[in-house]
Amino acid sequence: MDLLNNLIYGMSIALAFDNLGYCLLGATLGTLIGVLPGIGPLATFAILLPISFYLPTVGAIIMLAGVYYGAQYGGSITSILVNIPGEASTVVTCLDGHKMALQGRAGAALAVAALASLFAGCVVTVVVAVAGPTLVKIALLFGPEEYVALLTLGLVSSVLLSGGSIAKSIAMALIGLLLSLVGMDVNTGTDRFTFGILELSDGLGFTAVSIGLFGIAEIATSIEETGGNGRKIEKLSRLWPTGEDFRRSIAPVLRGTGLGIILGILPGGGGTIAAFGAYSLERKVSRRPRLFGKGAVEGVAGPEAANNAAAQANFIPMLSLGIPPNAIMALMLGAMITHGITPGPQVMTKQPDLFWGLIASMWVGNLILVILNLPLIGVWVSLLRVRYTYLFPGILVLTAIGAFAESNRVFDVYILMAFALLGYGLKKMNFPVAPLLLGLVLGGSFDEQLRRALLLSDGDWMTFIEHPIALGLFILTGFLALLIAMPNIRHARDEALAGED
Amino acid sequence: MLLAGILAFSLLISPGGLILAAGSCAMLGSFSAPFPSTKKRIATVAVITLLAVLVFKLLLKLNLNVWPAWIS
Repeated sequence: MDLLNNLIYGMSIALAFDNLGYCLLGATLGTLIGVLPGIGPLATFAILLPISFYLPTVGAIIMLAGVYYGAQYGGSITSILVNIPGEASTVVTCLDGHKMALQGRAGAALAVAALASLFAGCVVTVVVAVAGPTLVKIALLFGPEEYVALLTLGLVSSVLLSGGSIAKSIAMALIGLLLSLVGMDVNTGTDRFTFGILELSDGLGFTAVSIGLFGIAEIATSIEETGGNGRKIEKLSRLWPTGEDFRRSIAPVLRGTGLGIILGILPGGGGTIAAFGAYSLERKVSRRPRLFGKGAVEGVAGPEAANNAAAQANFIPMLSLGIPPNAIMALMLGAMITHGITPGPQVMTKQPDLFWGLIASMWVGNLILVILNLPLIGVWVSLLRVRYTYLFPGILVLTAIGAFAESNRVFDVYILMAFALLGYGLKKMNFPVAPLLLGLVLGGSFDEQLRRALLLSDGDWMTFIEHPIALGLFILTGFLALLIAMPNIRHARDEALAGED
Repeated sequence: MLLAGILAFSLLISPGGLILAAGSCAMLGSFSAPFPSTKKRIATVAVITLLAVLVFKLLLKLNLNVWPAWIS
């Protein structure tokens, strides 16, 4: 009954006129990002972050969430129509979705993708509503030792489950942790790694760093790859799927949703792994595996449900534990912190409007997305033809103003430039940037909780073993690291994450 | 050219205001990819500058000077 009351309360917030507007704006921007292959959701999230600071807290978080799951919908449009995934999690949709388009069934593929995502989104919203408060109760038992263990698990998972070499990912996470130490130490008041630069006493501006690493670096590589040109698109035919398409999609959607939820909750998990996992699962259980890769509707329905389910399930650890499972959630966490919210179990009790409003907005957002994606598909298709040349200068201005506006300091724009260069260089050398951002976001609380735990135990490191939950989490971290070290699992990881970063 | 655009923004935002900073940032940034014609390039830069003022100054009410200090 409590759950129902809370959902009704959340719905009253999500359906308030201004929040509905922010949800619509976020979903539209998300779809736009998904449709334009040049700019990924991570880059856009970083670019939009400063704008969100000028919006009301609940509205800003609802908008950013809309951008995130809207991008999953939009990404499937380009995957199906032009065989170019708008973002990594929709790579799998290309395999069968584009083949369906070539067979004159683009409309059916788009409709199945949108409806599968809608179903998954609605189911996950209920799961988030049920699992969130349960996890919050567990999180309230956590002391500094447990938080250190949980943050370690989050960091190790982000390293293991990001694309590219594990050694490079570890290096990135460590650099992120080091960068998080820049600024004044809150315990002693001493400056750390500021090199006498006064502006660095407040630490590195999170917005400037994330925009530089993701926004500018992505624009630069996108210009190199596309030359600023638009795309040629398959002709759209009948939009509605046949009865046979529906019948064949039901089971894959259910399986994809289940898999997406499980993988989305796990630290480091996300839409890409869920989509690849769902595709492999469908191919294994199908009675017609030879049709996969040739336009099988199951190959669209399962992964689409899985990537959307995972994207929304990512909110569970972020909202209840304050631990972002991936880089986008790390940016979301940064946005919450900037809005004065302390992420973690207290969000549900201290900001119930934000917690339940956000959960309810996911339902509203998914419905908005189906309306945006199906009847308005023609608009998105025409946007695909726009030359990116016209978009880049605007995005550049947005990033520069965004970095400057966070604290009205030109110094932040210099930070942006430095990290843009770093981000571009790292991208060129195939270093995954996501672990760096996670290290940067989690580093502050890792440092704080570690020192608190050691202060309380008089510097005794055994305290982490004496706390059973912390010990369990450390064992889980070690088990995960060992699992990834196994050659066949490592090979599967490399295959599944080929599109990440 | 992307970095040159941002550098121009950082150097011009305080003395030159939003119009000059955003305009020069967009203009320099536009050279990072080929444009169909100079007319279209100028038109794009003008639209972006106008949108920047509309969104950031009028809509979000950011504490920024729109015009250069020597004009205002």
